[in-house]
Amino acid sequence: MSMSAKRTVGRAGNPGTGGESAPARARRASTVALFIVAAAALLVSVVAASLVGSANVGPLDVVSTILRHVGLGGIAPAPPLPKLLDALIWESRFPRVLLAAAVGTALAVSGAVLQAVTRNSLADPYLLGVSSGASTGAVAALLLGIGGSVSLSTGAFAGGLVSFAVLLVLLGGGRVASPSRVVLTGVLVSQFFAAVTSVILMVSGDANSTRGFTYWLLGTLSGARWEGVTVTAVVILAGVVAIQFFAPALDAFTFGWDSATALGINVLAARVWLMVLTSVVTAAAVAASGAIGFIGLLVPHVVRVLANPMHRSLLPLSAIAGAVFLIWVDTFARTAFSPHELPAGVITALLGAPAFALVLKRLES
Amino acid sequence: MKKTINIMCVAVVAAASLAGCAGGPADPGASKTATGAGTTAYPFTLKNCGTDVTYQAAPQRVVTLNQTAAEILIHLGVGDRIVGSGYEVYQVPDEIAGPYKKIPILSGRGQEIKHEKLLEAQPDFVYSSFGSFFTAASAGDRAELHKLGVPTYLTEFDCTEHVSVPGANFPMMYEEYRRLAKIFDVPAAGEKLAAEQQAMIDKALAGYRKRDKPLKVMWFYSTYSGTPWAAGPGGLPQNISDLLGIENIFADVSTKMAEVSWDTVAARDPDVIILADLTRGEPNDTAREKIDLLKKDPLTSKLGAVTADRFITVPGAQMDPGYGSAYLVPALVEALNKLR
Repeated sequence: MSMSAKRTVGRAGNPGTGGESAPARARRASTVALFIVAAAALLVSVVAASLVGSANVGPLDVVSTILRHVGLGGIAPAPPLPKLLDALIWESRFPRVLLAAAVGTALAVSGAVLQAVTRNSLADPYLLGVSSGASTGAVAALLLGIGGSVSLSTGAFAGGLVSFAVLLVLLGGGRVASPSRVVLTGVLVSQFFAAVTSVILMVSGDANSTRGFTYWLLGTLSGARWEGVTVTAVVILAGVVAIQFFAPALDAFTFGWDSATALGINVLAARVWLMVLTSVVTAAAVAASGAIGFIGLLVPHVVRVLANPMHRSLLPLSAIAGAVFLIWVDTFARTAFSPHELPAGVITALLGAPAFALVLKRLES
Repeated sequence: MKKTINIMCVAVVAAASLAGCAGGPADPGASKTATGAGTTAYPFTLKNCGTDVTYQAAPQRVVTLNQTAAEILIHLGVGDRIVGSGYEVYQVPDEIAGPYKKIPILSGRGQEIKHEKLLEAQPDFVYSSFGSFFTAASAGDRAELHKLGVPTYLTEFDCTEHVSVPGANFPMMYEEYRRLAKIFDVPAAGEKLAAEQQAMIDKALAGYRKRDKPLKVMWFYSTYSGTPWAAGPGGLPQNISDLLGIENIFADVSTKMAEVSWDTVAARDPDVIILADLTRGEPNDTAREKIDLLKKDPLTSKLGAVTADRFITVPGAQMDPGYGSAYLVPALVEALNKLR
């Protein structure tokens, strides 16, 4: 995911400027450095997180197992593990780490997009109710069997799209809403869809599914297997790459719709596409893990502080940082109180709520 | 605050159990148990909860996903082949305390075994009395385990959680003993256990003074946020009600364990409330807490059974299908005979 950082400066940011200023150059250098650090951190995180778990399997055995499965058995430092331990690493722990990475990516990028589209730094798919809508869609598809063979992810996508549309309509279409209005509208959308989900759970009345769903709604990655992980990761990756093409539009949105139009951006088309893409990406994440909150808020803000805030670099950096962040949150969730497991969403909320307060304070000052 | 303490306890238990199984996975097949004691011809296939499961050999490394599953295997004389168990929810009966305490516990108290802990134990057979434990987010899907070459057995009483099983009765429990005995190649032990429990039930029923007018009972299992859970049809509590000629006031609900309402309980006005004395650590688990609750609540405190203290306390775990379930019969016979 290497990006050419060169072209980000001097485009929508400060149109008409010729050469780069010294601070811009320094910032560009730091952004390039950050990409390298982020990519390395992602690789290290995937491997390191695979080493730890409730079961005691030696680090060399874990690394060897993974190498063997990716066709690098020749350089594996340890002999093959017994079948069940091999499955423990390759069929359960490793796909779960990858799922955490994919979901973290999806939520962080969705957050960055929502912040630009709503022109509000407090936006996040969870806080704005998109996750909640996706959950409603998933539960409806599964329990009510709407549309017959509609699967959980398709339901989640439809729900995410509907909630996003409701949000934008309530925000008054093209007008720019104040931050507090955006947040309050998000609360409204989120609560409404949570209530719809509860009604569906109660009406369908099956205690078994209700209990399973309650845990899932808190946001958890447990139960990840290759089958689901592959589909989720492909959808999220495709969505995130597609969103990247809208980086100039997202930058332009910062100046308002009129200025964006003046810069030659088809605002309506861009917003509709971004709405669809964000819904797809969020829905894929929610279908796989339930609603994990605050990542979309936390990650882009940290990235903005550290690197060039233009979307050309903000989006891919957020994608990587989101992946790294959720990998470690989930690793903590499944190992800290082993053999007891915490839902990852509980931990992101613990970290996210204070971050929300911080962003709010910065907005006010 | 309470939650923190609970989590701490879990962490301590976890640390202790980790220390307990330090040394890593033992050499598979190291069990000293003699096999071939019986007559089972391997491989053989059983239809269990709608799935054909093939057993290649007598299991030597067993994981039981819950406590009563371990208890049953201990009573079948194959407890020493259990390399891990979980979902501990009640005080271990003294008669099996010795063998039971040797089993490594792979989950926190009242918690389910997770997939990773299950695979770490490298079982060659997994046995569960709860269908909900065989899911990807818990111990693992049955199909998934079968694909890994690990056969499973799930009690026919709980193929799907909470769903009523038509005709659920003690002979079904005995059939489970026999099938497990066959899997372990100890058929005589299965027959013996089945015969012992049936004899105990027969003896209890022989001394039972049946009433002309059936007593109405509520099997009060648990209560969360105000609504009670009671035993419905299609489980052993219903079978016991039928054996004793008492009327389960919730025989008409749709699941074997159902969330009901106090209004309905009041309207159906049970003569006796059977209280499940649970020790899972959840709110209102114990019989004492349940009685307090019933006596404090303005509605339930007026129920005939509550004002007259017509309570029968039974060990809660025995209401779930397992080794202890048969003991409910003599206990209830004694309590009902005393009740006037």
